[in-house]
Amino acid sequence: MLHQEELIAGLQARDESAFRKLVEEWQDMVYNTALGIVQNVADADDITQDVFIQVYQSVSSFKGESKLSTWLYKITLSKALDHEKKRKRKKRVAFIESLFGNREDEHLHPVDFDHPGVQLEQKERAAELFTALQQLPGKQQMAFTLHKLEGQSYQEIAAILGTSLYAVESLMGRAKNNLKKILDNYYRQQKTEK
Amino acid sequence: MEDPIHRMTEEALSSLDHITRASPKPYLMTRIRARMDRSAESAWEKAGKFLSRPAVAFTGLFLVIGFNVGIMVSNNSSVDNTVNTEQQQLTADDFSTSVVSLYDTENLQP
Repeated sequence: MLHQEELIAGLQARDESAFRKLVEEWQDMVYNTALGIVQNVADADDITQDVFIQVYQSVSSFKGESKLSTWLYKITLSKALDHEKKRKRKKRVAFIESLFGNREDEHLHPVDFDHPGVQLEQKERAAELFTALQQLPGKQQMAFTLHKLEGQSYQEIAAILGTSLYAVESLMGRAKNNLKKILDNYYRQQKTEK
Repeated sequence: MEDPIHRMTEEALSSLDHITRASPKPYLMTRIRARMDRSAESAWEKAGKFLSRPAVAFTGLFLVIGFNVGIMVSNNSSVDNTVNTEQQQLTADDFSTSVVSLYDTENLQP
């Protein structure tokens, strides 16, 4: 494994092998984080490509004040959340269009997301949790994803989100409470429908 | 007895406890390279993109329209001047007292 400074120096010198090393080393981390937010395999793949292209193009501005992984997480989360905003905007437009016509957009009825890393016996509950996760505000969603999917500590999440440890603890507490409420409502609704 | 809804909620919240990382499809580096090559545009493509920006395109359109309107206005005013000159000449001829003889038209040279 190349040392971070060597890798950055190689990237700043436009060294192809350094770029290849960067992609090989961090692709799973970037992809898994993006997948947790956008919950779509093709979109997560696109975002992963975007992240590495942006890193290659803007590595000259990286001063090495934070860890390379922190910088990569920041870019990934920013791109994934932008993507989600656009998707939600499209969904609203599609909903309005469906009121005036018979357009049936698949984004209006998204299928349950199946994360490939979830254990088989947990698939159903995990899909329900992922659906609930999409209803959380951005920062809560990011903190929960980084902690649960990437196994990041609260301290590391604080560095990535550029906030304090106390703020991350508070974000995680609110995220769990909101998820409990959303899931509780969902299961009660399911029960009454049966 | 435990509430089944409470149990399902707790199960869902702990369903990601032993999750493993997902990996992208193979040949990610090749896809990134292909995308970078595609985005390396020629000067003409860059110029085309710049011109197709709404602000630039509309400014250009208004300039062309303005230029055309300007030319039309200036042409109209020069046509009016010609008409006025012709009108004045005709009026002057109508009230002219000089007699043009056949000799004058055939012997233009002094």
